[in-house]
Amino acid sequence: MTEEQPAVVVIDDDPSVRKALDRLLRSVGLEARLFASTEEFLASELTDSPTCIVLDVRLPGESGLALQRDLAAANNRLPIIFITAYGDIPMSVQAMKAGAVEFLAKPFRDQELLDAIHLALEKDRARRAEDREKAQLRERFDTLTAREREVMALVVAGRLNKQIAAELGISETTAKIHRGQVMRKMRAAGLVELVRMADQLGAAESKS
Amino acid sequence: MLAKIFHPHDPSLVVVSVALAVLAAYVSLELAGRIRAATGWARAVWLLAGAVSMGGGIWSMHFVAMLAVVLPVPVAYDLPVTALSLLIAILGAACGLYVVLWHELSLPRLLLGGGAIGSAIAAMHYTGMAALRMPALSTYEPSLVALSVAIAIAAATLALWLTFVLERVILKICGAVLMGAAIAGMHYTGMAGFICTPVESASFSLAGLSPSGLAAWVIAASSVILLNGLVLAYYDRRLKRLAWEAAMAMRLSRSQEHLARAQEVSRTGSIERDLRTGTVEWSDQTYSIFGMARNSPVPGREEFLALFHPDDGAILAAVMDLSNEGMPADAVELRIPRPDGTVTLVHYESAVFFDDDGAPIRWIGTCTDVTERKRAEEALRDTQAELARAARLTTMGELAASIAHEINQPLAAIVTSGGACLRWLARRPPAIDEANEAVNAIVYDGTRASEVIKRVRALFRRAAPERVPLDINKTVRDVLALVRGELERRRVTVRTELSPCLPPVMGDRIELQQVMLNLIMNALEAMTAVGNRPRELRIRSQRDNSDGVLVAVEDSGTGLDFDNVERIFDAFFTTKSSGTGMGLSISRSIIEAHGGRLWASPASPHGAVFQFTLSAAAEAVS
Repeated sequence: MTEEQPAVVVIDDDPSVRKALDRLLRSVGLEARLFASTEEFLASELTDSPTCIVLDVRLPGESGLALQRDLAAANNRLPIIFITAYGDIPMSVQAMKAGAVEFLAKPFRDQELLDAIHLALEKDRARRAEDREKAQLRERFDTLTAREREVMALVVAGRLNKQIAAELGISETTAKIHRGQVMRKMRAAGLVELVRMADQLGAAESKS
Repeated sequence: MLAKIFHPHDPSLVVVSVALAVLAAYVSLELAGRIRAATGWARAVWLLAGAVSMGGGIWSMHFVAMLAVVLPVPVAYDLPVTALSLLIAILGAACGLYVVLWHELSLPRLLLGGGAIGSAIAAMHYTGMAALRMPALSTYEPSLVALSVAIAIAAATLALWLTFVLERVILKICGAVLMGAAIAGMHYTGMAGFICTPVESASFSLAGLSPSGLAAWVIAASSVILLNGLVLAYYDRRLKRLAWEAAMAMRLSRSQEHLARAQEVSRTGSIERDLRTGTVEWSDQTYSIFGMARNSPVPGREEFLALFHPDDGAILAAVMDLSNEGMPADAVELRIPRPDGTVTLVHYESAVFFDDDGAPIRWIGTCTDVTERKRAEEALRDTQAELARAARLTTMGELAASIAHEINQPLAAIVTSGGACLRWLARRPPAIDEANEAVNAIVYDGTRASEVIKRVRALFRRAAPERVPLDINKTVRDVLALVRGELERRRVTVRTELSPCLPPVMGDRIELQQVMLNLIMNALEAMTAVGNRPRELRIRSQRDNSDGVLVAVEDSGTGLDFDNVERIFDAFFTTKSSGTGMGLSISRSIIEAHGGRLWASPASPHGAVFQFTLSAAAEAVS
């Protein structure tokens, strides 16, 4: 599987810190996109590649923690690494609880930050893969007819063909044909895989 | 029958006799009255003088009256008996006056004294009558004799009572008249009862004192009384003058004492120079200030100037020249070096005084020893500086997190750039250009961090306040750089309007930074509760009306209670939960020590504005 060039978003109001981070990231071959404020970042276009955000807590205008909140509310799950020049424990606890990858106090060791960035990018890659898989499943699921969806729900619930037929008021043969169609359209190798797929879909359904 | 036997009198001599009695009574009572106020032997002198006057008066009256009476026979007087009668009168009067005046007066003493004097009058009269030598038979009407004695005793007692008990001037005169009446009344009553019946006797001779001889004696006795009166009058005047002189001397010495004490207490000595004669006088305190013995000769001009620090001697010489010319001179402060190495500081002030024509006649200079006062002032200044420093430390404590932020920011950049640099160098081949750029950035950020530390250290420094020309805008910017993190943390935006064409001000950099810091921190505090409008800090510098500089710090906070706005400048007054209440009080004393003012007023539409003025450096130097 070929991977796109990952991007690291840096949001810090201190130009020295911004430039230094750019320098460090370039030295390990990562592309950095630099922003002085959250507003500047939100106005920019997101790239379709694995991305993480290195975010200063205290910023002029909207703060880093507020951005984290806003992104979560918009179901944007870009991994965030916080950096701050105030070693403030309640703030770091809040950030970590809200799902931050790491919370680093300035000055931090470069390797610590790079490790966190790699971890974050890995997370984002996985998320993106999962998202892609879910999108495929959704596509397949969308090809099912209404009757096939009813049958699929009952199959996943562990009903036998005879039970399905009785429940839906159709013949056992018809039930069997619907079941075969479901398995084919969903490209499920067996019952176990179909159940997993239904789980994923259900999770996606309940989340959206 | 009485009229038939009453011998006629010469009326003019009767008047003289009565007048003599009253005069003698007045003089003698006055003289004797001095006994009470006198002490020691003087009492005896007064008693004697009083007794002689009264006795002489009684006696003179009697014999003047005897000269006035016209008897049917020629008369002569027996000398020893006449002299005896005078002695009786004087002794009787002395006894009476002694009893009344020598000790505390009481009713028995008054009665006894009155009785003694009345008896003396009567005894003298009848002894005097017994001295009569004439070819006639003397008989006395007993009832009138008794009446005459009674009149003498009663009138004398009443006279003493009026004179010495009631003690009022008008009553004294009444007393004298009454005493005169006792004497004369007794005499003429006694004479009313005297009958002279001529007899033919061949053996009678007119041996003894003739009436003309008697007149001479009476005149002598009267003169003694008069002399006593004159002595009394003279003595009175002298006594009064002595008393007045004593009172004046006492007032003068009290006034001098008062002046000397006042000079001692105020540590102020005076120097007076008579411009016409050139003589100079020093007060005791002046000697003591210059450490010289009192009453030692006043030093000459050069000698005097040499007492001071050489620089100050020159100043004083100029001041003294002005004074000698009759021109006003400013007050100066002068140093007097002491042999023990210490220095006494003297405040010297002088004034010139003119005569009616406007010519200068003298000048008076005052030297006040202000060493202690100066020392106390310095101690106060030191304490204030310490207090200001403590307040600075408190503020810096509140700012610690922000300051850490300011240092951590460049440190983060340094560490990150360092890591990048190492990675560029680790490449094969090493990326020298990239590494170079990273090192440059490290140097830049290292300098930036050290600037922050320098600023912080300056505020922690313990140093005596100094006065140097300062750019107030730089002071404002330095402080803003220090609180940048705090502004960010509190989400406060800053707007500065710093006038580029300001004169430098004379001041202490740290203290003025402290004032700015205090005003800015207060502004931030005031905006903590503001949520519905922008939190804006505005700092403005401009020229003040009076050629100085005005700095204004304005916030958009909750504002102040402007009804008692001055209270916020009081020590220990605070509206914050964590404040010491010293900040504004110290800020105001710093600004006032710089010759400026610090005040608060409402800002529009919200918040408060604190403004202070400072005078321009050029002005302060000149």
